[in-house]
Amino acid sequence: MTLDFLTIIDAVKMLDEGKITSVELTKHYLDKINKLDRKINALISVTPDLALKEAAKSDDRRAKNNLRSAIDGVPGTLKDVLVTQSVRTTAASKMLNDFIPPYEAHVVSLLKNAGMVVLGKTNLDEYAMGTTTVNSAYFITKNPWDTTRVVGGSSGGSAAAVAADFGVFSLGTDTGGSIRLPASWTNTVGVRPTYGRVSRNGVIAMASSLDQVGLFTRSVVDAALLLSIIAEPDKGDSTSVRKTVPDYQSLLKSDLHGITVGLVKQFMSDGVDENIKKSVLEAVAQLKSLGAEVKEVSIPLSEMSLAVYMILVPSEVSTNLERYDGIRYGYSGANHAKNLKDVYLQSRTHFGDEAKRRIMLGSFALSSGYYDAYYNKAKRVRAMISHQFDQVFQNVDVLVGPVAPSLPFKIGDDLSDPLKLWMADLLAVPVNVAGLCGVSVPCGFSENLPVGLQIMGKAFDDETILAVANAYQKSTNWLDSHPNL
Amino acid sequence: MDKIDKTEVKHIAELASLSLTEKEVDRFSVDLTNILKYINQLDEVKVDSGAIDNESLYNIWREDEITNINMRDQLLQNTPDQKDGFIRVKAVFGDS
Repeated sequence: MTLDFLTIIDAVKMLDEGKITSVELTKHYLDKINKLDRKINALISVTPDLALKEAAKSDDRRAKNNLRSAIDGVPGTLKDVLVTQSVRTTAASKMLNDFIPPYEAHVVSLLKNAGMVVLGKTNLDEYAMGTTTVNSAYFITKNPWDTTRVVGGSSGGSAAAVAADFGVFSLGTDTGGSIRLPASWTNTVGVRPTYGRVSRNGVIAMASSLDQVGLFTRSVVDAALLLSIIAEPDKGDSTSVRKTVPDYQSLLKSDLHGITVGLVKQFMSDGVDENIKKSVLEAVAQLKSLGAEVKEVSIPLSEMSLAVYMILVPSEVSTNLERYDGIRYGYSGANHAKNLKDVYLQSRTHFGDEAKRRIMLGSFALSSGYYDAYYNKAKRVRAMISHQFDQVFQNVDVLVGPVAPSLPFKIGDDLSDPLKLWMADLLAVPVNVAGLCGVSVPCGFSENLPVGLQIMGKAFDDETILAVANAYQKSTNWLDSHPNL
Repeated sequence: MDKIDKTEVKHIAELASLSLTEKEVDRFSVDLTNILKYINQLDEVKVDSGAIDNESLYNIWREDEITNINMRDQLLQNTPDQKDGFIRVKAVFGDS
């Protein structure tokens, strides 16, 4: 009996058949984290006592035939930007080093009510700002496939935790690729649901018009199962859309007849690594052999997405991070301050470099005299990009392309050029800017490093990207490959 | 705008309540100028009058129901300086 690299479906089957208990499974992962995480640095906090307590309760429910959901007793991890009541939540910032949230994020409540066992909180770029998980105030998360390389970001700890088998699944957030990029670099499935599909209540805010909670799993079926749990509407977030939650798992497909796939020309430009393009084209051929009709489509304005994103995100960051003033919670520099303004200044020195840079850029874009030229312009171009995607979606069901333009960077390579780091999200941000949904599913290897296929769908058509991803995943065996640690 | 010079950096830092070291001022001037160069490609996009931003957006209201009550102590558990259930702050003017 092996416990390595279980999917949710595998784990639940073993629990149901009495081959293992949730407590045993939880201990197995805690041991693994204890032994191996020093090589990877996936987790900021591990919560063994809480995990074992919840696992014992789940075993008790199972014995009484009183299970709460199809994931009851399954252990996983949470990105440390989702607040957890009474459990330290840092957003990988020194600002929140000692922050104990007084409440629980909506998605965390939903998962705990479903019986999830939380093993711990995963590392990220500070406040989810970055593409590498190098910008964490704590440590750099390493790629389990090659520990000399970055794992991607900002949900790098979550991606690494799933790739390294520290738990069965993980929750992350994706504002501009922060789930799909690290998923593509770790051979995991990464889902960014449509904006509004999952509540953001209790997600430490970065850019509120783009932030969205999503998933890392080892199969598309697992992702579909989890999405049906976390997509529950929430009164506490007015952008959480009051739509009934589909049973995503029952809508998965294995045959793609009747599905039209658009390969986006702009996603296959010269700037994208040749081997990545090759893997993507092979995946497209595979979709065709499963019955899909494939067309090449052009979305010229998608190329402007990153520029739009680089104005909107810092603008929203500069407003969202105003709250860190050293007064109500978070780091306070009051001891060194002589008056109130000084408290703000002394406290806010604790932001990391990238946070400061984005606050500066956003304050500039929103400042008098520049607002129209930058923020307003970006907002209008955003609407135009969205419109262009809508038009293409009149003729295709899903769009495909690569997730990342390159393989994961070497740690210690010159990662100090902020523009170079933003560029890693070049192909991921159009989904966020246009308010669509997207998934990264493993589609091959180049130089022994994973490559991801991106499947993008219409707003609130998450079931179709999952259906296509599932058909592709079931007909390939990329997910059977695992890193050696 | 083509360049964010050091004077501009200091002005923005003041707006954002950030106290920057001279080294940070130098670096951010270079970084922000480079980022601006990339962003300026938006100049190529002619915004057509049809592109009304947020045309599909609308406000979502709900009843203002009281749900979480008596959480004062939990809410204050992260507050650095407090007295008798109140948050204590420095004086707005001068030394305190």
